[in-house]
Amino acid sequence: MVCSNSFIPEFWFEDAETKTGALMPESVVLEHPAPKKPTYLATGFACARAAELMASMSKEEIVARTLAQLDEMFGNKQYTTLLRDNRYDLNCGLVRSFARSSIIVVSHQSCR
Amino acid sequence: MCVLALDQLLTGSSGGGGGGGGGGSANNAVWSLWKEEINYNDPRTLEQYLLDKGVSDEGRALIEAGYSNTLCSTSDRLPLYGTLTLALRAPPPPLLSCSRCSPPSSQGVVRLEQAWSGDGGGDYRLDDSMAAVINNMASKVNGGVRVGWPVVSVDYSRPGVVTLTNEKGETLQASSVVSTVPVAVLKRGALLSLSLCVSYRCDTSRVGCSRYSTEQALLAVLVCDALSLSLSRAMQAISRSTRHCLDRTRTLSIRLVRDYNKLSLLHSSCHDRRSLANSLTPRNNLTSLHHDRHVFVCQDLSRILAPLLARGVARSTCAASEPLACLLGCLPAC
Repeated sequence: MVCSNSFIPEFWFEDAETKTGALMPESVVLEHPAPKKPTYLATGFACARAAELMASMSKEEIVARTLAQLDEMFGNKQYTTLLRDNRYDLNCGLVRSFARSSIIVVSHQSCR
Repeated sequence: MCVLALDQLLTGSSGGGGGGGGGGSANNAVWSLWKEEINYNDPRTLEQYLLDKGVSDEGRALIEAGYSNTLCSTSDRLPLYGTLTLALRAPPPPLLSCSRCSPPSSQGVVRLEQAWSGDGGGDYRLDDSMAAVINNMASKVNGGVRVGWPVVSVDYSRPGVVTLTNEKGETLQASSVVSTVPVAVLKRGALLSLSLCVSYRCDTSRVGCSRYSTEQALLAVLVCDALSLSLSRAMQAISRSTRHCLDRTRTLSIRLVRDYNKLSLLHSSCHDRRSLANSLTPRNNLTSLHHDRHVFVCQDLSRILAPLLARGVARSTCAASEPLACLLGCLPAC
């Protein structure tokens, strides 16, 4: 999903129930392993100015603002925040910076 | 905040969450980029182009988030065309740049879109599996795809014709063979005869060995095969071992043939054999030799290796940092 004038410009969503192991780094230990509920992987993709803004933030702040944006997108009158909504558990929040990566490969056509 | 699903942005089918007509017109503006005539003197950015097209603030914001962000840039940093001067004088910079890098200056978004335009619009996903692709390709193969046809030998002695023989003695001829049999399988003797044929027409700018001579590349293949090293690591090791003795510019045509019991190195010419010989002298502390490994038959290199082989060299003295020495250590006496 494309989100204009937002903290995270793009989100990619995956049904990660069967893909979590493949998508998560091996070093990541889920805080709530083997969740019974469906697991989804939400990836926020931010470059340029959006990434520059994040550069000065802590991981916790980035995750919190990302969740706040998701709340704004998916929340309703009953459930205004995902974290307080017991329908959802946040397994983990990862922030990956590619600032020092020499090569980033993005499939442009697929991403558009 | 305006939220729009990517497919909506792509098709402009729905305003979605307040996108309104901005999304559609923005999408049309981007989609028509590839139709623009290249004008390297046009200094406009993507942002200016969208403004000129009358794309609304909302639409431009969506393009910023969905298009420019994917290109790791912003609309006001993305050039529409780039400049001819840069394109001619300098190699093209990476198509995508991070926010701290300069935007792609010699390939504007028009050129980028032209590169993609041949594929048509949208993304596609196979309904079932990749088997549909394989089956479609297989339908165009004369005789179809044969499975359960284990090859036991490959005869490439006749120029232009390769004959495969299976375990029942049935034969099949082809113009070429691509063997994907893992080395581990080869070592178990799965193919008892000629098991791997690799042809190199190495102009040193291909096969990823531009910094190395063909001899180095070939030896690297042998070394990485023997020691399960990556090709790049083997190349580096070979380069270190041979120093600068080898001619790095010579273009050779080399055919490497590997057999389960025989390893042959055939090359049409070797520009600097003396240097190669010097690089293979016993300076690598080779003092004895294993007798139970591959036979090394080499039309030219055998003469170089013969003194070493006759002297006898030991693998036990090979340091891990000397893969070339280790390779020689794997070779039995002739």
